[in-house]
Amino acid sequence: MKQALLARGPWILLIATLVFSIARLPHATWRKRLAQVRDFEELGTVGYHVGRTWPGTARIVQWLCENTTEDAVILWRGTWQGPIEHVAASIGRRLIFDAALAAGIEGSERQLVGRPVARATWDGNEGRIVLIASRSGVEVEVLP
Amino acid sequence: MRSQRSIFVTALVGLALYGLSRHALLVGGVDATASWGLGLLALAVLVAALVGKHAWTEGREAAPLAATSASRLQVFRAILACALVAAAVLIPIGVALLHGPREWDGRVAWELRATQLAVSGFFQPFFLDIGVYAPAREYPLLQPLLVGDVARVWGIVAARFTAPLFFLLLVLGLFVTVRRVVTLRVAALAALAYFVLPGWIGPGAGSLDSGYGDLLVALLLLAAGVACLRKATESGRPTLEDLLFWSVLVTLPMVKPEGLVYAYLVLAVALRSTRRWVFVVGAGLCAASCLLVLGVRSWSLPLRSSAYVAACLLPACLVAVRYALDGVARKEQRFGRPLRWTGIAVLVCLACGALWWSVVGVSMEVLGEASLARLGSHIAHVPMTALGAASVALDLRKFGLAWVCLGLGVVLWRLAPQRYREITGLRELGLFVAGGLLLAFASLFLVPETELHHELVSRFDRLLLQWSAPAWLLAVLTSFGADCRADGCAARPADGLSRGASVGRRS
Repeated sequence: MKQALLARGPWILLIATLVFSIARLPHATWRKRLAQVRDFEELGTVGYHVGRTWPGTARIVQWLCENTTEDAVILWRGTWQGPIEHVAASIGRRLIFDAALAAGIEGSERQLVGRPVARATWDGNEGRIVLIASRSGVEVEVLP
Repeated sequence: MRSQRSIFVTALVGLALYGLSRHALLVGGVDATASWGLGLLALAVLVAALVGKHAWTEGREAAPLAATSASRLQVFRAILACALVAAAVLIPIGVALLHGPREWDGRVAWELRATQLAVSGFFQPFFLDIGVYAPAREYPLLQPLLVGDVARVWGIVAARFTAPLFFLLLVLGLFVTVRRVVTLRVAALAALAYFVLPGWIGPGAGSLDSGYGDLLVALLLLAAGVACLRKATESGRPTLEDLLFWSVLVTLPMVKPEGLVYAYLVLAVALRSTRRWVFVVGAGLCAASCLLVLGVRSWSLPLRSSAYVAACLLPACLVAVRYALDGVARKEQRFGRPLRWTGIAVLVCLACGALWWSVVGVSMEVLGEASLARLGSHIAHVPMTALGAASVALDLRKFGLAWVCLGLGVVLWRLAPQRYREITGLRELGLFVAGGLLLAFASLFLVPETELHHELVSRFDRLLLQWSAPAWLLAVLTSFGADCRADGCAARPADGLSRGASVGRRS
């Protein structure tokens, strides 16, 4: 009896695994995934990845895309993990550069890595844009 | 069957050749432009096909251990059922791939780098300037290079479909390997069960459409598992398993940081089971691959020269251990047993030291002294961590009953090991999977205690997903491979579905 059970065990487990996984297809593979895709379509890439958790950061990303040139270099400082990772992936060809390192580079007020440093007007202040990154979001500071 | 094996091996060898050549060119300061990179991939696959030709000719003689008597109608029904399940799985995944990765690292660590490579190549500030914010800068580049090269020609959307292709290759490799031991019905069911494993086809991190690198690692680990099942041969020619062994050693360090540790594990497991020249070539290829990865990384991150030494140290130590084992075996009469084993123990200790130095120096700089100190403080929490790890492994929504199947298979195997004597290399495969799972578990002790829960659900589960491929291979072989003989499967009371199928035609 024990031996027969041991011998049939692999078959029972294999079939159970297969049936369980196939039974999950409609819910996990279809419904959940397609719900995600629908959200993705509705919110857009930035809205989906950034806007749902950090709406303020999503607005900043949109503002950066509208107010800086496509090849601009944007300065940043703060926590390297968190929403800043998605900002880097959401701004097209623009690059994000360490503000502390930039301070030691001659001429970095205008150009870095052969590209123009992003300048714009934020809250009435005109100057170089610096992103201040934390785990809870990204803020903007303007350097003269 | 032979042609299916050929596809699996050609793809793996081609990937290794592509990785080697692409990295070597980058180290030399040459970047691929336009369709150049894709041409390189095609060339690599072509060379792989030519290199492996004589190995497949050798494999022609090896017929499956298990025979089958399925009629054409049964085969047609089985294919139809598989096609329906495949469509049910791949259609929603294809739809999702059209919209881009929805998981964090899939987007910022993998697709961002692939897109940058596709648009501006490697020699640009994003990769070269330390001041530019680039997530996962220290990660190896093989997957982004491949996806980037495809994206250059056909666009990023098409390039995302490399993931399902890798998955199909993985399932094909699993099927053709188990088919050599078990009946067609068992092989097909086992491959299908793995194909619908929730962890791969669900919508979470690490899945087919998440953009992560875990799938490629799983494919390589499966290939390493297949390489473990090599037969003893006196021939001077490399066998199909040898080609897989070398390909895996080349490719693993180029995919993910943990790939380096896995490559060392592959070497360690093969220490006794491979022919010496095959092992030495493998160790050399592994060291060369590590040096190339470091060479590419040195364009963007300052590296100490000791890192290059570290890359070669462990393969060199293992080669020394191999020579020592062979040497003392020959001179056993002259040197006593205690002296023999003392010498080997010293070499193994050296290899362990080299392992730590290599891992910290080459692949994971983050594991410094802090991690070592953490390791000590975590020891007291082993039972709790083990419980946490077990609960992740038994999460039905991610792994189904895969790990339970493995457990039962191993119990059956250990209860009657003599029934598995026809399956060569099963012990090595078991060691490989056990070593890998142990390494994955050990990695939990290198993170701060406060992040343990996060590690368990966000990283450890993906490590298990990587190991699920060779583990499933082991589970199927141990669960259904008992009493297989070269003249067909012995009648097994358990194998109710294949009873009477022992004298049919071979397929």
